[in-house]
Amino acid sequence: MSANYIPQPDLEFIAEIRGLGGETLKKCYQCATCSVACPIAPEGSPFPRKEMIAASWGLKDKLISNGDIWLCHNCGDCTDMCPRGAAPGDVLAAVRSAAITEYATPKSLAKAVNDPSKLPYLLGIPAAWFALLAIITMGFGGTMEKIFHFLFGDAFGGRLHWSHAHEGAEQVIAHANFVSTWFVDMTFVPLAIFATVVFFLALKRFIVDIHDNAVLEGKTDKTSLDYKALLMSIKNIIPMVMKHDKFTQCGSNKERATPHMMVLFAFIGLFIVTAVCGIMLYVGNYAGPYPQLNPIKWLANIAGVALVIGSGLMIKSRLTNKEQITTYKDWFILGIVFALGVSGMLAEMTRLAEIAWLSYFFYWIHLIAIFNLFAFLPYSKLAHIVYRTVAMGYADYANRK
Amino acid sequence: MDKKYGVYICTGCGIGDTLDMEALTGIPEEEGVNCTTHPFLCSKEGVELIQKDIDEGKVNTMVIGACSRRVNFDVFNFSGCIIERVNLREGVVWPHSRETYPALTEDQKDDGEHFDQIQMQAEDYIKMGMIRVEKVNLPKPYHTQSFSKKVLVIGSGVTGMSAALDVAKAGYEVTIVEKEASIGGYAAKLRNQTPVQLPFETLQAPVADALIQEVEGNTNIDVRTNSLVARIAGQPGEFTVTIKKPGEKSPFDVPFPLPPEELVDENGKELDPEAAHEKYLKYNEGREDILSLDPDGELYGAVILAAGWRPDVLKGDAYAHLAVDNPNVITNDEFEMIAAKGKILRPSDGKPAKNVIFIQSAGKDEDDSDFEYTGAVTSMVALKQARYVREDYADGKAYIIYQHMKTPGLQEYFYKAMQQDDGIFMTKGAVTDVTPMSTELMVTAQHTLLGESLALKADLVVVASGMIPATKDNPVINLAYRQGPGFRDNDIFGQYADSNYICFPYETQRTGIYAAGAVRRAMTIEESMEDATGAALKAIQCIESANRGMSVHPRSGDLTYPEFFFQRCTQCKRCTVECPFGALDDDAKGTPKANPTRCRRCGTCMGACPERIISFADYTIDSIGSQVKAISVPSEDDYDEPPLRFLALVCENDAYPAFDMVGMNRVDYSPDVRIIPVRCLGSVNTIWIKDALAQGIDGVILIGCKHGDDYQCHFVKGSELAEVRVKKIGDALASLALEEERVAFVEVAIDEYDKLPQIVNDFVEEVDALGPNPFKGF
Amino acid sequence: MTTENSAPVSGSIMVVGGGISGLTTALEAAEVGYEVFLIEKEASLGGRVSQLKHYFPKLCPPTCGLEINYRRLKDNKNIKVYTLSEVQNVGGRPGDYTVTVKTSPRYVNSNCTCCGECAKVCETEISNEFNFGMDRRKAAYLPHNMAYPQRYVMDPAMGTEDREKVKEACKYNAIDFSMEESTFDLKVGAVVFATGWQPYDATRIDNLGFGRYQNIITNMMLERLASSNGPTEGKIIRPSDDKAPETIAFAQCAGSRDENHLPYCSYICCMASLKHATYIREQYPDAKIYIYYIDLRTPGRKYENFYAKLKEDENVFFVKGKVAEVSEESGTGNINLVAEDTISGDKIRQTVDVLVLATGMQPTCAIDKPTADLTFDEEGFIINDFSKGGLFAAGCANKPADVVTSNQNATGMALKAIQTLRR
Repeated sequence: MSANYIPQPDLEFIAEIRGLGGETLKKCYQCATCSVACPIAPEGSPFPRKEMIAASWGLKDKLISNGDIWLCHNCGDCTDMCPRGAAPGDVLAAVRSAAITEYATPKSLAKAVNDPSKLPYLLGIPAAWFALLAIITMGFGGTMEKIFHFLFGDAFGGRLHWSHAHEGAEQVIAHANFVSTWFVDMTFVPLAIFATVVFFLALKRFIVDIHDNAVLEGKTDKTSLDYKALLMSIKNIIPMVMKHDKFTQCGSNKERATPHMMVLFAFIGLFIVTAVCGIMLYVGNYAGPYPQLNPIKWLANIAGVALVIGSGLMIKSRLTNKEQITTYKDWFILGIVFALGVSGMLAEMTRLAEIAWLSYFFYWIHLIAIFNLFAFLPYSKLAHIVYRTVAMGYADYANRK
Repeated sequence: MDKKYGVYICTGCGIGDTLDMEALTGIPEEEGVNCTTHPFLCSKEGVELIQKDIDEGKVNTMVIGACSRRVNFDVFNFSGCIIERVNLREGVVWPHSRETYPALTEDQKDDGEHFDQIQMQAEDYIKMGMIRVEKVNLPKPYHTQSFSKKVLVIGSGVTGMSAALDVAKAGYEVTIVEKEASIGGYAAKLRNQTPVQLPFETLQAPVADALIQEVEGNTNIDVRTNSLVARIAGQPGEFTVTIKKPGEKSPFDVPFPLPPEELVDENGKELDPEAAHEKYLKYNEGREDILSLDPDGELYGAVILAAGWRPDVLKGDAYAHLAVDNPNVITNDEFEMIAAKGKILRPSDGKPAKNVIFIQSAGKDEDDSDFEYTGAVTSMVALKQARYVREDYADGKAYIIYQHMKTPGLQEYFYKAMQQDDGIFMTKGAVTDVTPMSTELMVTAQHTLLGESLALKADLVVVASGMIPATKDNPVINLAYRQGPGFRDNDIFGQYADSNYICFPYETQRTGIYAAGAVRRAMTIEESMEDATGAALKAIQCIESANRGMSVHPRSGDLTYPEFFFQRCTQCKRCTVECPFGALDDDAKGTPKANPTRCRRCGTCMGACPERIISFADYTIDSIGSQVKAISVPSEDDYDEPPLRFLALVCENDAYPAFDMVGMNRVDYSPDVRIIPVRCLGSVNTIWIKDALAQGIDGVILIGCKHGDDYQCHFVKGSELAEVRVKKIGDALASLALEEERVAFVEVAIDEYDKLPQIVNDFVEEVDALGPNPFKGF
Repeated sequence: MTTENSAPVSGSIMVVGGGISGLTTALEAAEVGYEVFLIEKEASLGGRVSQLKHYFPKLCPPTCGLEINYRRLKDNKNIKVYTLSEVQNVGGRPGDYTVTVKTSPRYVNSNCTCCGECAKVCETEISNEFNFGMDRRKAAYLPHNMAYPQRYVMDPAMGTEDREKVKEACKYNAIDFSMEESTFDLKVGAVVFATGWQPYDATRIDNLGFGRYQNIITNMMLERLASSNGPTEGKIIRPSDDKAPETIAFAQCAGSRDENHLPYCSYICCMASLKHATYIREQYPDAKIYIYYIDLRTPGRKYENFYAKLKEDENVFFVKGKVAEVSEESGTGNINLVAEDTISGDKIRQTVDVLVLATGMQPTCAIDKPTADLTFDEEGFIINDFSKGGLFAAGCANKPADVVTSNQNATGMALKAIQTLRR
């Protein structure tokens, strides 16, 4: 018999979980219907029954570092069958967002992202920033050109210019004429790096924690952590993630799979688009906007549409589904994604409609959305992309069946 | 009365088709008794036919040969007449068909070889019926000298108060006797109590306060605080009660019977009655004998025992692992008293107790049952008390470690409501030990719902100790009964003054005294109040029945009662000793004094009496004895191979209905058996068995109810006593040179009718193997 | 000396429902001396308990107590029994009610001698609801062998041809198909509703597969299977193939303590399943018995001892965890069940011969509400208002309870009714 566990119930944590959409956490009387109802719970120490008692006891330590909370896809089967009117699905969702905050650094930023009152700043700062950049781009093009010339001169065969040449010369509407691509990239590349670093730091702790927890609760046969093998496992499960196998095992709300898949693939698509454009611009010195016939444009449009429809459907289902609890954290991320998609499409359409000022306005919105998405990725609900993937990978590595 | 006999036989339902009616009607006619047959006796015409004879003064004492007395019971009751139903249908023609027992052809009759077993059976039954009505009389109700309709309630807790109020509201006078200085009992000392009505979701202020007000305001209720019952003498309708102050010595303190160890002399030999009585008197010096009534005693009709409970004290090795000696390990009762005073503070240092662990079960990991005497109450109490912790401290934490959360029925709502409190934490678990640390206590539990063994730190540990019924410490009711001052057999019920019966929860072995509340079972306040109402009804009912000279349950309405022919009494005291209800008291000489309103009319005394001096108007040694003698016992003088004869004395409550069902199902069993229903096997006097065997009957079988701790006998001891008596009969048989296998005793439940034919036939075969009774034909 | 020898009657009491609670209320009131009308909607008294083989914890037959009660009834002129009767309306106020009673035709009059000739010739067969439809019975039938009154019933489903046959077979012209439904009023001072309970409809518990799989039965069905007057003469065999079960599982809280069904605890199911384990053990010494529970509720010394005795049986296993998923093993008809053992924390997948659902009790008055000035809780139990008086609920019409508690409660309600008359 292992050493006795000393529970330290945390009343604040209980309150926090209630606040994050887990208000039913105290209703559980441990009949374990949920563990059986869950289509993806493993045979050995299945969830969410044990997570429910840990939650009702306010045992933060047992939950935050528990890989199982990420295996749950919140399909709601457990909630439907719970005889006590508890909603384990929502409780785990709440625990997950608590975990995201817990692993993210700096905490202050993490808190801000989940705090409605801070929303104006989250939107205002990038808005102001891009406004400034727009003014510079539009008002001080010449100056920038000079600065560029002074900085690089004829380096790179004099190919480095402030403004990128566009097909059909000046009169074309190009968003680069509104906010220079240079500025855009100088903003987002560091942001991306920042996000990556934050995730890296988080994962370092996260992986160790979920492993220790798995060992403690006998959920794995592995004793030590082999990062290489873990990485392999993560690779193994990618196809499953893509196919959304886990989602489709759900009884109660399968339909969530489709929109979720649309959004995921949209992001992948847009990532490719961005990458390709970067290369075309900096290597091929071939600046956008590209003609609609360009295959990369097709991909961009399809992805854009998928993103709008996908996130739109998600919003719709959350508005209609009264069973499922929807909190600020959900609206925040959905709002951002939807805004991102819509503003992107509108910016393009208005550009083609040759309404410059409107197109620039939408582009501005678009940039703000992207900024929020990038900057707050590690703190927002969207962080599950990383945590769930890793946790699922770990489960595979740990032979959690 | 001047009996005018008549026999009426129904030929319907196959009786006429199966039996030789001519021969059958011949039996009464031989005796000069008119016998009328009718094809449908229970029809209007049939009944009118009898009524006509009655009206014309032709008959007032009838034998009705038809279906079982359990069928058409309401058709054949003619007031002022003695009636005996002879069960020709379920008892004779239904279980025994002509296919199995062909009727005799003309030349077979009286050929000294053939005989008609079914006909013989029917004829015997008619004879037996006829002799019985000759021997019995109509009962005259018994009335006590004095009579009181007042009810005495012992104990003034919620149960006592509720009972008193319920009795008073029905228009009867009540006296409450309370040993404490004020009424209200334990429930008045609580901070809060568990809910007594829907939605069962919140704690509520003690209801006791409101009850106290109501009791004090009720003119029908007389409250005596600082009082105890010294003795209750007499019988329902006229209990003479002596009330005294606690600690006070009274000549009417009830005398106690000698404890068993006192009944033997120094060298372990049993004392002779005189010596024993001497010792008994010395043992109870200064106390009046039970038979001397207190001249200043008060008269009551019935008593309600609501003495309640005391908190269990947990001491000793069984609880050592819970560190029960540590000041900060307390019982739920001690916790309640602290909570009632104000904020919850630690006994050791008076510091706030913010982390409190409630332990519901003591069994380590071997036994998952709760502490003794807890019922489902302590789960409720733990939930309530956990809430106290939260009421007192915003950052307070209460843990409940249970094996089974016992909140049955609607109390589930209370469990759910208490669960919602953020600071109340629960898990199933086996508490293995409690270890005192510097300032805290460490509680370890195994097999918990958290997937591992727990070690929990606490400022205070509360163990869910039980509610010890007052009757565990002393009899409380202090009955001036020869059998002793308390309820009998309470040891079967763990000293609870509980009933053994599921169907009849208020049946006690002391008529007129009804227990209610926690003295019967661990009960919540809600349950106790409800229980009190039932006891109140039984008390009133007993008074009204006694007033009408009627028996109470289970022979409700029976007007007969035991009568003694004292000239022949040998003061053997068996009746006093064996009466399951302690209805009899014997005087110094040992002559029994009957207390008819205590009596439940089972006839156990009649069965016990070796001198056969006890009888009931319609049920006597002679009435049954004569029925036995009326059974014809064919011998070799009659037939070359005479059929054997068997007597079955069966309990009329369970075995007899079972035999009816055998008949209804048309299942065959030996037609050589003659069944006589008896009030209870306890009323079977061995003389019947001896006489039966002496007259050549080959075997006697007694069929009665299951006994043992879960006895089904409606008169508690009847079937058990019968078995003892049957065992003892062996030597008597030996003296007659008869095998003891000829007398058998079996227990059957009413639903074992499917086994009954086999039981009977097996016995018949066994005796058959022994050969015929040598006494035949003497 | 005797004070007024006459019964202290002042007005009369109606008891609705002739089960153990109703019988108790009626008898206890009548034996104080009051006139009682006992209204029973079935053809026989006895109610739910007459379907039981044994009571827990004594394992004694309910018919034993019923027999005594029937005898008390027979000997007591104060009680008038109306079978096949239902209360349609209760008007008036405490002390003065007018109750409208509807009696359906039995098609058998008081001439019936219970000889059974009618059943012999009747060919129409109807589903036997006394055995929960597990067998069929003649349309001319005695409700059961301990029926009170002991009188046959002709089911309306009987065809005209059979009607002729049975009329002919009855020598006592007890059968009368011209009988009609009748409605009449009774004046009473108080009414006690002892309308009892229904087993919760297990088909509604979707995940437990009752009705889909033959070898999933309810606890009340098991009770009938074990009873000697049941469909199998007391042999416990499984429905699909009459096989003697070797492994039996009990799913506790099937529909009870469940907000999707009955939010309250039904009180009796734990003890019932423990009792059923003894039935099975009696017939199958080696059968393995699994009891899946959330909490075992065995309140009180007697019940605790009963449970303790069963724990000594090494072939009875207790698992803390609710059965939440079932399926049928193809071919065998065995039942696969899934639960989590919450102590070991592992899922259990088990295949059993029979799965018994420990279904709970739903108050009858929740299914058909009496039209009377009563207050009901959300689940349909009648809430007693003693300050108002007049109308009361006894036994399981008031709350889920075992027989002892019901009888205590029923005895008390007799007094509450009397108090109303005494006001």
